[in-house]
Amino acid sequence: MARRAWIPFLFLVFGLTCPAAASEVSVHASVRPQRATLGEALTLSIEVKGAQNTPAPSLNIDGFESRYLGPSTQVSISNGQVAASVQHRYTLVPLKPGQFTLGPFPVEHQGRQYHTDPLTVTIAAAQPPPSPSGRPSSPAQQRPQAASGQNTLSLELSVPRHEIYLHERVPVTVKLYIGAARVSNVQYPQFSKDGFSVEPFSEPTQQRQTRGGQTFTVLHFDTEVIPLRSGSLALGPASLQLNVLTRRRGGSPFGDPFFDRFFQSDFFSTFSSERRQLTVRSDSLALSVQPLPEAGRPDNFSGAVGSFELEVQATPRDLSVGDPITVQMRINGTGYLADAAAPTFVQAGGFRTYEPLAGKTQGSTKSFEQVLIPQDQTLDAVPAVQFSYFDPQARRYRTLESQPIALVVRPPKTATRKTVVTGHPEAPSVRSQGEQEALGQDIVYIKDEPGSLVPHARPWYRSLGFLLWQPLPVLLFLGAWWYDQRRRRLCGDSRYARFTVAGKQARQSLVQAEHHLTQEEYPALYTALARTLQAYVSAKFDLPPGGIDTQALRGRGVSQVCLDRIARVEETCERVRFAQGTTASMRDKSHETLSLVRQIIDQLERAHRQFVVLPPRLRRPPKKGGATQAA
Amino acid sequence: MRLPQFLRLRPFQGLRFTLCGVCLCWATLAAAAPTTPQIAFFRANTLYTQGQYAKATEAYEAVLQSGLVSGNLYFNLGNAYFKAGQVGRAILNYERARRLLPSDPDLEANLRFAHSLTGVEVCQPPLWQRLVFPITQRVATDRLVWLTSAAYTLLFVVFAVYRLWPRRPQWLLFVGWGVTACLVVVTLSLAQQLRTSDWQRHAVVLEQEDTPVRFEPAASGTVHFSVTQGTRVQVLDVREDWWQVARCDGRRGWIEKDALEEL
Repeated sequence: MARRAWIPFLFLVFGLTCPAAASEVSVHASVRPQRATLGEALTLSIEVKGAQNTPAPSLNIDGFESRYLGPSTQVSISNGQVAASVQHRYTLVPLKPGQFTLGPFPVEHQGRQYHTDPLTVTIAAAQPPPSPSGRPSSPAQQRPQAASGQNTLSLELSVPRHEIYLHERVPVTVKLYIGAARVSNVQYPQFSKDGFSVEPFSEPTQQRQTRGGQTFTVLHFDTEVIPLRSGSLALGPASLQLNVLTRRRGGSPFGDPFFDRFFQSDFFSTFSSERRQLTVRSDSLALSVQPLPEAGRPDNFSGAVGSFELEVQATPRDLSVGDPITVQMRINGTGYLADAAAPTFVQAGGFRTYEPLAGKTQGSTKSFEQVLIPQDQTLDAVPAVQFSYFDPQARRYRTLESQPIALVVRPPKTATRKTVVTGHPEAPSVRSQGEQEALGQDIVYIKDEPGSLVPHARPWYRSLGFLLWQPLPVLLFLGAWWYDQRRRRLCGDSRYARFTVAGKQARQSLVQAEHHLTQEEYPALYTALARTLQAYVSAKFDLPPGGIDTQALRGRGVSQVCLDRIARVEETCERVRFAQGTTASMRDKSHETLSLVRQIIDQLERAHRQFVVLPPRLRRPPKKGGATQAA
Repeated sequence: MRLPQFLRLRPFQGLRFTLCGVCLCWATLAAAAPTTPQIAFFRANTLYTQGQYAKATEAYEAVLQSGLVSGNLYFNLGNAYFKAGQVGRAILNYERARRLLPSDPDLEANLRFAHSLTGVEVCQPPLWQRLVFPITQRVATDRLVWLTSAAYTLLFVVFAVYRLWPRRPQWLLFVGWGVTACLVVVTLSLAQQLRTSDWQRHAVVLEQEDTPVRFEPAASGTVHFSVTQGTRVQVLDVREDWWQVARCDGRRGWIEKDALEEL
C-alpha cells in the first residue's frame, strides 16, 4: 500500500499542472464599492483565471492612490476539471471627487498581454461626519463611549434615490460606523419593510473612512428592495444588534501602575473587558413610489421593470413540416422579473404555437420555452421576438426585439393523414392530422382457415386426467429417491443388509430342505434345518454364527413361545444329527421340525420387520467382508 | 327348410349387401345433416368477401353458437364487425381472439388500428412486469399450462434419473438447473397471466357514444368519468343492471350493464 501512495499524488500534480497549463487564460477586474465618498477606500481586484503565476500589474490611476495588498490563489476541481486562478488585490484611496474610469489594466502571462474590462466608479464629495444618529436603545440606553467621550457607533440607511417607480429594484445600503469602540457578534441589520420585497443581504464589506478628523471602520451591508405598491412608503428605520466590549473598572490585581498599564494592553483587554449587547438604530427613509406611466406603454408590456437583455435560441433549425421547434428565450439584466410575461412573436403565421413555459426566475434572469410547429415548408425563419419593459433610469418603456432565426423546413417525411377504408357508410373515420395525402390504413384481411376449432367449454387443463397426471412426476422422483437410499444402505450397512435378506435366504433354504424331505435324505434335512435356523437368527439379530444364544434373543424382544420353538428345533436336530436315531424316528419328526422352523421364521419376520439399530453394548464386532457377503 | 334358388345368397353376397346398405344410409344422413362448423366458416368468409358484412357476422356467430371457438373465428368475426361499423364489437372479438392467438401479428395490427380509431389508450404493463413475466400475454394460457407442466415433469424426471444413475454425471445436474430456470420463467408468467387475465372478469364497452361511469349504481349518480366504445374494463361487481368496473388507470365506477359485453 505504501508503495502505491505516490499514485494519487502523481495524479494530483498532473491534474493541477496540465489542465491549468492547457486551459485558456481570462482576466477580470472588479471594484467595490462602485460609489464612494471622498476619503472612503475602495478595493480593486484583478482576477486571472487559468493561471497562477502571473505577476501583479502595476497600477497608476489618475485621481487615486493605490496600494497592492497581495495575491490570492485558488484551485478548484469540479467534475474532473481543474480550475486555477489568482487574484491581485489593491486598495484605492480617491483623491478627488468625480466619475472615474479604471482600466483597462494590462496583465502579462507567458509573453502574452491580456486586458481587463474598464470599470466606472463615482466618487462623491466628502460629507460632514455622521450625526450622532446612532441611537442606542434598550437594553443599553446609553451609547457606549470611548474614554475620549466621542460618538463611537452609528447606523446609516441610504438609497440612491428617494423617488422611485413601482417594482423598481432599488439598492439599499446600511452602513455601520464603528469609532473607537470594540465590537463583536455583529448581526445583520433589520428594518421595517412594509410595502417592499427585500432581498437577502450580501456578505458585508469592511472599509476604513475618515470623517471630520475621526477614523471609522465602516461595515457595508448591501441589499435591494422592490416596492410592491405605489404611494409614499417609509423604509426603515434599520436596527442592528452587536456586542460592545468595555473595559472593567479597576487596574491590575497587584495595584501597581506598571501592572495597570500592562493589563490594559490589547491582549489582556480581551479577558478583562465586559461584553454588553447593544442595538443601534438608523433613521427611516421616506420614499415616493410612482406608478408606471400610462403614456407610451406598449401593448405587449411584460410587467418587467429594470434594464434587460434578450437572448433567443431555436433548435432544431433543420426540420420537416410538423416537427416541433423549441424556442428558448432568456431575459437577463437587473430589475424586477418575477411577474414578467413571456416575450411575444412579432409574426407567427405559418406556425402552430403553444403556450410558453416559464422557467425559474434566478436573480434577474428568467427563461421561457415555447414550442412552434411549422405548418408550411416555405417558412424560412423563426419570427422575431419582442420583449417590452420599463426602464426606471430612462423613465420610459423600452422594447427589445430579437433577430429572426433562419430555418430550413423540409417536406414531411411520413404520412400525416390517415384514410380509413370501411365498408359501412357510418363507420367512424380517422381524425385528419394534416392536409398531406398519405398512406391509407385498414385492418388486415380475414383468415382463410378456421384454425383449430375447439369446444367452448372448460379448458383441457382443468380436466381430471391432467390434474391426476401432476403428482406422477413427484411420485416418480420419490420412488427413485427411496430406491437409491435403500440401495446405498444395502451397500454400506452390512447389518442392515443381512437383516433385510435374512428372511428371503431362509425361505430359499427351506425349499432346499423340503427337497431333502421328499428325497427322504433325513440327515441332510436336519442339517439344513439347523443351519437355516442358525443363519437366519444370526442375520436377523446380528448374532455371531455357530449357535443360537437364547439369552441374547430374549434381550432382543423375541417372545418366549418363539424361544421354546427354537429350543425344540435345536434339540431335535442335535439329537437326530449326533445321536443318529433310526430312520423311522427321523421321519416322524421331520415334518414337525420343518413346520416348526417355518413357523419360527414367519413369526420372527412378522414381529421384527423394522431394522433396529442396536446399542453399542449389544453389537458384535464388525466382521471383515460382511458387507460384501450380504450384498 | 331350403329357400328357393333366387332367394339364396352366394358366398360374400350378404356382406356386399350390408356394405351397400351402410353406404346408402351414410350418404342419406350426410345429405340431410346440418352444415359442419368448418363449412359454415367458409360460407361466412364468402359473405365477407362479397361485402355482405352484416350477413357475415351472423354466419360467424352461428359457428360460435355450435359451441366451437378458435382464434381465427374470432378474428374474422371482429373484421366483419369492423367493416359493419361496429368498432366496439370488433374490439371485443379481437380481445377474445387474442386469448387464443396472443402473438398473432395480424390481430395485433387490427386491434391497434381499431383502438386508434376510438381513441382508446391501451395501458401497457410496467417495465418490471415485462421483465419478470417475459412471456405473459405472448403465449396462450393453455400453451403456458402445457409448457409449465412439461417443464415440471421433465425436471422431476431429470432428478429421478440423476438419483438412479450410479455415476451421477455432472451434465445431468446442469440440465436440471436449466430446466428449473425455464420452469421458473414459465410458472411466473403463467401465474401473472392467470391473475391478470383468466381469473378476472373483463368486458368491453360497446356503446358508440361516450358512456358515463358513475359513482353509484343509479342513473342519478354523479358521473365519475366516461368510457368510449372499445374500452376494456375489469368487472369488479354486479348489482342488478349495473356493473362496477375499473379502468386500467385504476379509476372505478358503475356503468349500465347494457353498455358492455363480457369477454
